[in-house]
Amino acid sequence: MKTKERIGVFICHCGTNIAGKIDIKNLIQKNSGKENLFFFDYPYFCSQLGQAFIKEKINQLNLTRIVVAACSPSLHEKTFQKVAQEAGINPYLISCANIREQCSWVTLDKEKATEKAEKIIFSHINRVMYQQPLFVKEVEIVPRVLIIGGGIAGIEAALKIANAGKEVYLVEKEPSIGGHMAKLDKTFPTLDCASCILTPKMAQVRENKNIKLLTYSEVEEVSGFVGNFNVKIRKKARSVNLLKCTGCGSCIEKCPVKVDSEFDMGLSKRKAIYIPFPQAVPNAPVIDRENCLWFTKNKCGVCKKICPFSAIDYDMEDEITLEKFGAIIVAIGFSLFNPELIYQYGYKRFPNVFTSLEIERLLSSTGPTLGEIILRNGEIPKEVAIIHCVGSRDENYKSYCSAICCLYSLKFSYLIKERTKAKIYNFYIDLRLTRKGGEDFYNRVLEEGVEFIRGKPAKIEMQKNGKLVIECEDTLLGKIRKIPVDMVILSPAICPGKDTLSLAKILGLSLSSDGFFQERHPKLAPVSTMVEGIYIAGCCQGPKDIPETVAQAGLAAAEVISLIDKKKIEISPIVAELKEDYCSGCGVCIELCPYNALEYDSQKNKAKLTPEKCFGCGVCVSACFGGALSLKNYREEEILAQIEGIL
Amino acid sequence: MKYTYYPGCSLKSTEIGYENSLRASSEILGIELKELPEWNCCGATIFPKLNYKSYLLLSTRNLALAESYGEDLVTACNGCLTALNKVNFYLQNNRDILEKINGVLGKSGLNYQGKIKIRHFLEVLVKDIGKKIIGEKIKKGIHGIKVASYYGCQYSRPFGPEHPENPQYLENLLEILGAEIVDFSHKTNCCGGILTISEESCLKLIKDILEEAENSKVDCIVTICPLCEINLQLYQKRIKIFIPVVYFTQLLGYSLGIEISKLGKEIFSLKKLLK
Amino acid sequence: MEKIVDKIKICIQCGTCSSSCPLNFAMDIPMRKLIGLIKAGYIKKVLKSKTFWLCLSCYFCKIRCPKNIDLPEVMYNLHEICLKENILPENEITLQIYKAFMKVVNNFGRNFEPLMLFFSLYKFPKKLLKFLPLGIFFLKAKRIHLFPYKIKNSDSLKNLLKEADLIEI
Repeated sequence: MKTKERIGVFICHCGTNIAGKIDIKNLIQKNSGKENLFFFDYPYFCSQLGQAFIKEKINQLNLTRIVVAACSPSLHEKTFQKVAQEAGINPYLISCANIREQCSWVTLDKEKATEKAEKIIFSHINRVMYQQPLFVKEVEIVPRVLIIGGGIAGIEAALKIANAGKEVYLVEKEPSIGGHMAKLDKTFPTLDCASCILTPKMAQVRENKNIKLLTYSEVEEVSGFVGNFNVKIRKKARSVNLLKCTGCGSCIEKCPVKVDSEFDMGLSKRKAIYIPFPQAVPNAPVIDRENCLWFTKNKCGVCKKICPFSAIDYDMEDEITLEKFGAIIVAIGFSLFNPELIYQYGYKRFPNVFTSLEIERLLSSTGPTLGEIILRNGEIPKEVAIIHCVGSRDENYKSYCSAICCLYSLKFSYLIKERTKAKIYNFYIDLRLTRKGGEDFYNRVLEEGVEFIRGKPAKIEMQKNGKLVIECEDTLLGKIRKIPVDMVILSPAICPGKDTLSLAKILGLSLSSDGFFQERHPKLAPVSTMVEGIYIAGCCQGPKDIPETVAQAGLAAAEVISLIDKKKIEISPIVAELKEDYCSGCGVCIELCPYNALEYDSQKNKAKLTPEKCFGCGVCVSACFGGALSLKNYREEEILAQIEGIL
Repeated sequence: MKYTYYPGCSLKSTEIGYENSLRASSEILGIELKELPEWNCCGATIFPKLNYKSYLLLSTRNLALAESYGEDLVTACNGCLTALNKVNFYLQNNRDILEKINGVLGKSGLNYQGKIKIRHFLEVLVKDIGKKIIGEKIKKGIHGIKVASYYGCQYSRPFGPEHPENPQYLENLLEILGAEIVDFSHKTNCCGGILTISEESCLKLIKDILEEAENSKVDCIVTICPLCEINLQLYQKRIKIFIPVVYFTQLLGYSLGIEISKLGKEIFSLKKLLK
Repeated sequence: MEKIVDKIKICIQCGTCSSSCPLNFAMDIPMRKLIGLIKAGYIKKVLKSKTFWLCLSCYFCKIRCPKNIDLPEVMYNLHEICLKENILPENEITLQIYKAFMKVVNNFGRNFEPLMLFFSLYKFPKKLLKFLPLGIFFLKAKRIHLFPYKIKNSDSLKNLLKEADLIEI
């Protein structure tokens, strides 16, 4: 072996795991005497004494590279790298030869096992000669967090992170934070008032000095990598100066324009200058420029004239802010499936067919009917039907289960029965009540005489007298039933938020097959994504109820806090390397990279690698036709040497 | 605009009026319909129940013949539309079976590659010809006539260019002709088709449709399938509800200025209203 | 039968098919239950029921089924099996009409109503006579012809149909 290197080969007995099958003594005897190659063996190299042994030998014999022949590197590679470092050798100049899982544990014959072990050890000896010293890169983490989405998930995460002393920017598209939870009347199964538990949190966000609230704003561009994200935020022009406005509401009173209220799901009207709901944070109006007479026809202008604080500013323009963030949490929530697509249920064709969110607004004491459940003509319904799985669990629309509909249908059954004394029917296929208190709630509702019919209705027809007839098969009885009701409530599927796709493109996140953001691991990393430093929380990751959303927000906050507290992040040196001269700009690697570490440089017509984003998976390396990409510590020379060592 | 035309058995026999009005209207609108030579029966919904393999062969033979002409295959019968589409879809997704069928067809020198599209004449009128051209050629509108658009079940299901439960093309066409569209909730309900084992049960379906039309106070029911027309017409005496049932091509033909006598007997019942 | 079971394995028994079916009032076993019985292996009961004989192929069930099961196709398969095992419905006439239709198409390539009616109802001369006035009316209006149209390649069609029987699908 012609080399200047002095290579130490440490063969571990691993008790009888290796020594019981492989004739280590013989192996060492056979190969001792070879130039610059030093063999040692020991019962347990991973033990304290074993590690000290290695360090001693390195210093004694001035070893320059090490091969540790023992168990799988996934167990102790880091241990031995640390040992090497402490003894003064670059931790990437060691190679772990697996002679346990890949040899002694799987070969029956002792002679053959020893032969194989020898080959494995020599392949690694060959390889370690070609390895290069690598150095961990340290990057500073910007101690500021961006949270996109101001619903309950965003609010929870913001508060947790701000209370840990970190700076948080909370960006929300709507004029107020609160999200969908602000629209709810009561939450299941305890029937707490949603606003009563949400508004104190919203107030805390407003008061917290560490939280910068950017409402009526959107994230437009994101570049960079973990610890150093460069973000462009557009603050849309509210047309109201937040510093001067006191929320008195005089401008709203006088506005002549009436438009369908988005917050009330179209069931009531709002003005062109409006505050979305009474407990809005910030409690200041916004001008809807698409419907305001001043902006569309250059008329009116009453709000400006009337404002006692001169807070109205028609000349306000969108503001662009560029900011650096160490971590990003995406919490943009969900959107509701439009049941108009399901023609046979008559949504928007028949007046008294409602969606769940519309009913929430009717139930709410600040809603269009101040909490009364009434039909469009003002009458109180005598019979109400609630249809589960509208668009969910359906290959024609959304194939997944929306998790929360069964529970909120029970909630509606209870509340509507309480307020109207109506006869309630639930049409379901399966009941999914996994939440704590769910089964008790079901019993309660059954005791109230609510009827559960297992059968998905085929269609709803309207009779001349306005009654809606539901045709379904009661599958438990095997009978076709036609049930006339006054009001039908549809439980539509929970779909990904409207901006999911565009945000995914901006952030480089992938989506799962149902359109929600893809988590890194469904069980063990539900809030992490494939992009280091970007986290997801709440319904944007999948349909879930409030307790689960809060838990995910907390987890995301913990991940972010632990990331930022590190102050510096170590970027592993095992990343791809791009030789620009060899690159033809074909773009195959860019398409394949799951971590978006490669992008197209249009000026040079070549790929551009951001090593900080690279996870060292090696896919681009194997795909590159021109050999422009290689993976550090797994370069062609090293791998070929390893193969040669076996042959 | 050129198409290969597949009439189906009904249009060549009892429903010859439908074909006459269809051909006459096409001529005025500049649609060239070349009848598929020596086409065979599609098998409707009877063959698949008795012998699925024969069903596949019957439609594939037609498709293979049509493919040699290259144009889209156009039909005016829902049953034929569905049979041809079903078999086409099945073969496109089961290439191994297509090969086996081609093996049989090869003995007659035929071969099907899976490239033909089958469409209903209604779709061709609304999508390909369009409002402008039809509007230009209208000589006599049918203003003031209240119509119920009845598509039948196999136009938009299981395949079709439109929403399976809420197709709109017939309403669109009739609107262009000037008719008053009445909301018809039974527009894609089944007419009873070939009247399976219980004639009485199927009669209930026909009764429901006629009753709904009566309650909606329409002047006529407009159909797009010969079987629907026959069912809705033939049993009126038994059900004792009398409403004119016409083909859409007959109303179209009338609007384009064709003499009523040339459009087929169905439209005679509307003679008074049309004058 | 295995092919049918393969298609319906994914059924969750939601009942949309039964309630969508326009002839559900006439069925002895609801559509959903029929599928459930097939899954559970009660084949004899399934084949003896009236349900699938009533299917009109209106496709309401298929487009509304949350698992997109092609039910009319399953109904067709059940028909075929019944005919092979000789389990026939009570109403014999309909089956006779179907078979007559098949005979005419096999021989002439296209349908010909008078012959079809004759083949189906010759065992029931009274019913046949009922159609006579209609037949005369159509003849007069030149809407049917006295003789069937035979397509040019009707012999080869016959052979093709025979060959098609031999392939396996």
